[in-house]
Order: sequence, then structure tokens, then C-alpha cells
Amino acid sequence: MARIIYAEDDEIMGEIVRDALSSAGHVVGVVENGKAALKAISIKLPELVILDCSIPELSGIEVLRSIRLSRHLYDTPVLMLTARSSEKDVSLAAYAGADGYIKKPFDPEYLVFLAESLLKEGRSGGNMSH
Amino acid sequence: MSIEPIEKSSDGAARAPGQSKPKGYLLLVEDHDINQILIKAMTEELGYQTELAVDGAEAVAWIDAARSENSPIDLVLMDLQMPVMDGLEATRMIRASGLSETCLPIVAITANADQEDIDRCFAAGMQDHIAKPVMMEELQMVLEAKIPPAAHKSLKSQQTTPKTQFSDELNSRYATRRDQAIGSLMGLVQVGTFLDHELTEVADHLHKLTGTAAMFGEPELGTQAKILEDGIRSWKRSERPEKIRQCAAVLLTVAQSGKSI
Repeated sequence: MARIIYAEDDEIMGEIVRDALSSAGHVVGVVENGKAALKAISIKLPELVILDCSIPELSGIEVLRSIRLSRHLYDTPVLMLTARSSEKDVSLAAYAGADGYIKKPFDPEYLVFLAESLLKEGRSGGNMSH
Repeated sequence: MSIEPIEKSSDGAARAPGQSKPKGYLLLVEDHDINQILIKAMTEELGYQTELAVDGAEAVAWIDAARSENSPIDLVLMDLQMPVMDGLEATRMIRASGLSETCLPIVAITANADQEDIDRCFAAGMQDHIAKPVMMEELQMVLEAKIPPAAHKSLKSQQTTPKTQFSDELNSRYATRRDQAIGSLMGLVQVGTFLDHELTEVADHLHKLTGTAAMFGEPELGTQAKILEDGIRSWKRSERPEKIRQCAAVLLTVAQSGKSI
């Protein structure tokens, strides 16, 4: 079981991801904009953050950048969700230090699989076996 | 260091880059300009076709593009220390995007590597390592071991589209959203005034449909909604009514055929 924060302004997408991750036994907090995401992340210190790239207030990329610059949060694994049509999102996510990405549309079970492999291996990866 | 001339291929002809089918397609990720030239030349000497990325982040984006365009790539040669995103981080991100090691092997190029560094490479999801300075024999051995002859594959997107059955509640919420988008679009076209606030409302409905249609098995509807949404927000006032009518007709046809399935 892990605590996960998911930032997504589309309520149906939020529900789909929450359903999938909670059936796998995780506790998911869904927030609908970038500012709320940063606040929730600094209070709840989740083990994984999932950010949609195109959320309002602060974009997913901006939230990711803030996480990487924070002394307390920089080590949190972050998975980005991007629209399939946007090549730009993937390079921005990479430059900003994402740990993985998923293009929409996706199978929710695939998201659970990627989320759990990130939870297992973490960001550091250093001493862990594969 | 000089590049040793390598053996001629069995038919006796020297292999010139681009003249015959390459033995495989590589991505070299390296920030140092001399190493870029040297290692690329060595791989081409060995009969491979090699593209270049200058840091980990560029490599991730390059591989993603190759994946969606279905262009061929068989193996990544990855330097470890690079600006922006280092080789370990890039490897983790590539693996965390769902590309398995059988699908795309990643080989580290390491300078002064001790066992701990090498362990770290494997832990990040790499399959092998080559020491710097890169030697022809070692490079050849690793490439031949990792790239089976004539087995060039493109990275077909492994990512699966939704198979999961959604709950009744989610399905009905999607149906409502779909009805609202289509209803507002039909209203817009029928009334025919194309006022700014009407356009904004329709574009907002279409936007929501864009993001979810493909999740519910209607990718084409999502694509059409996106085209129309972008158009409504960008077309000139004078051309709007005509173009909206055209796109709306396409979208409604797609929506109709989707419903009958």
C-alpha cells in the first residue's frame, strides 16, 4: 500500500485512475490543479506523484520542477501523463526530471503496473537489485 | 588513439555507410563532441547506423519519437555523466515508460568504472557496459551479442489502449459528457449565430471529450473533437461558420458510427 497524489483536472480521468490504484490497494488523493498538487504533496509526502501535464494554475511540468528543487521532496518518484499528440510534453518532462511517462489513452492496469514498478525501485535505484 | 581498420566483410567489399542495409540501428547518447565523432564512426565502421543525442533528456524524447513514428532502433549506447539528465536517470525513465530490456537494450559507456558503478547501471535497467576509451573489439562483441542478426525491430508502442471494463457509473458519466458535447455542437450549428460565448461553451465541452473519448474506445471521436476544438479557438471569424459546419459533420458521423458498435 502506498500514498499517491494524482493531479488531474478532468474528473472522469481522476475517477478512472483512483479506481485502478485503489483496487490495487493504494490510497489516492486526486487534486485538480497544480497549486493544490504542490500543497497536497508537501503536506502528505506521498510515495508517488502522478501529474497530468496540462493541469491549470501550475502545469504538471512546473509542479515537477518545484518538486525537484525542493529539499524535502526532490526524491519523490514522479510519473507524468501526456496527451498522445504532444511530443513536446515528453521532452519537457524528461528535462524537468520525470521518472516515467504515460501517453493518453492508456489502460488503467498499465498505469498501475508502471506506478508499482516505480514504487518498488524508487528514484535512487542505486543499491537496489533489478 | 587511432581507429584500427576492421576486417572486410565476408564478400570482400569494404562497407561504406549507407550503401548496404545496416546491421542495426543505434542511438548514441554522449555529450562530449570528440567522443560523439569517435564512437559514431566506430559503430558505422562496424556496419551500424547511429543517431546522436547529447544528453539523457534528449535521448528519452528521441526514443519516444522513434516509438510513435515506428522508426527502427535496436540498442542505446549511453554515457553516464551528462548535463541535464545523466545516463542512469534517463535509463530509469525509459524503463519506467514501459520499454522492456528485451525490447530495447541499453549499454553504458563508462569511464573509470568500479564494480559499484557497474552495479548501479544494472540496477537502473541497463544490460551491459563498455569501458572508455571504447575499443573496437569490445564494441563489436557487445553489439553482436545484443543485436541478433536481421532481427531489426521497431519499437512498436507497447502501450496498450484500455481493455479494462469501467464501472457503470463511469460509463454513464462518460455518456453524459459525450451527449453534452454533441448536443451543444448540434445546437451551435442549428442556431447558426456562432456567438463568442456559444463557441466557448462548445469548445469547453469538446475539450472534455478530447481527453476521454479514447479511454472509452472512441479514439477517432477524440481526434475529431480535438480538431474542432482547436479550430473553434483559432479560426478567423469570417471562415468560422463554414469550417465549423464541415468539421461538425465529420464529428457527428464518427459519433454516429461509434454508437452503433
